[in-house]
Amino acid sequence: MEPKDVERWLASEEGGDEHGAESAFTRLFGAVPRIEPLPGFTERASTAAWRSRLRRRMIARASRAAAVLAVVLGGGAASWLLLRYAWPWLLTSGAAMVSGSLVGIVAGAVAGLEWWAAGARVAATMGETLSHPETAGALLATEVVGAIALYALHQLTRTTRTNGTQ
Amino acid sequence: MTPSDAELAREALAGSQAACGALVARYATAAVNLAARLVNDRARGEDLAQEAFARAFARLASYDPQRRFAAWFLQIVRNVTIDHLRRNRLSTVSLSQLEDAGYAGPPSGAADASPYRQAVREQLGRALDRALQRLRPEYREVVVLHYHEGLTNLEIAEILALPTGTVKTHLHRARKELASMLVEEGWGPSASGCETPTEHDS
Repeated sequence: MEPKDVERWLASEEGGDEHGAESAFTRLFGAVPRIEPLPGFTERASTAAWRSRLRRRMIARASRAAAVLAVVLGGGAASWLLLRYAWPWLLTSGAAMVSGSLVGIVAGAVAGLEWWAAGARVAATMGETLSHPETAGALLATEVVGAIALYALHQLTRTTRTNGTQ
Repeated sequence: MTPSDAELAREALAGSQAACGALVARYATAAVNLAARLVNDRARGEDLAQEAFARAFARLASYDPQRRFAAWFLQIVRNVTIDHLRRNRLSTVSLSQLEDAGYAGPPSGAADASPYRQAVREQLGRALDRALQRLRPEYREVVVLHYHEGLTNLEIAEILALPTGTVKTHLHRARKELASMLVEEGWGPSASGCETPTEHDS
């Protein structure tokens, strides 16, 4: 390595020769020392890293064991309390709920069937009545008379109102 | 046959302490060099490198063997160092303090070189070292990762979470700044080819 190498790099930088500057500088940078660790570092770092890894694994295992233990103990305690104190209440409540629900469902179904049957009866009667020509004719005549009566009433009230204003 | 980094990592993950030790031996210098250059403190650099190794082995399961181990590990070193700098907001010290603390200085380099060339190399090494120290930290880290550790722009971009173009720009500007610093020290064309600068010799 000579000062000319440095000059070559500096000239490349100055002249904007990116490729030349890069390759020249890469060669020159080899002169810059890397900061080496002191003797014993590798051993020390290796031991510390290994211990840290073991510690972490132990902590992870202990955490998992603690979580399993907590679930088992918690579940056991909850089951025991349930069996010891809440079992009769739970049983009666459950039975009441089930039976109450069944009665309610059956009652609702019966009511629904009754209403449906009544509606069906009304519809059938109306249909039967309207299906005879004489009945249909009588109904039509009644409607015509009613319409004439309404019209006559309307005219009468209009005449009365006109006379009253004059 | 020397096992690859990925093989060592796999063995270490399986519980081999020897593989763990081999990886530490392989990357001790890279880790200390990067950390010490970022904090400008060799002893702290060693502590941070040690912490980085511990963190790396704790997370070894997350290492993707398709990726270069150096890039993955140096990212951890960098993160540990940045965390430390953020926590402590350290002031920097000069490289002369590093030398006082046992920093070896420029390597003797090519053993077959002439004494003149070796002297030039040493002087240049010191000059570049000083200039590197004066660089902005973001330029310094890309220079160390690229020219010392041989990482590609893409790998540096992954480590620093920057676009590749930004890494390229940082490298270009860092080189420009280093060039002007060396010119300031008398390495320019004015000192042409005859004698090496002596004013900074220690």
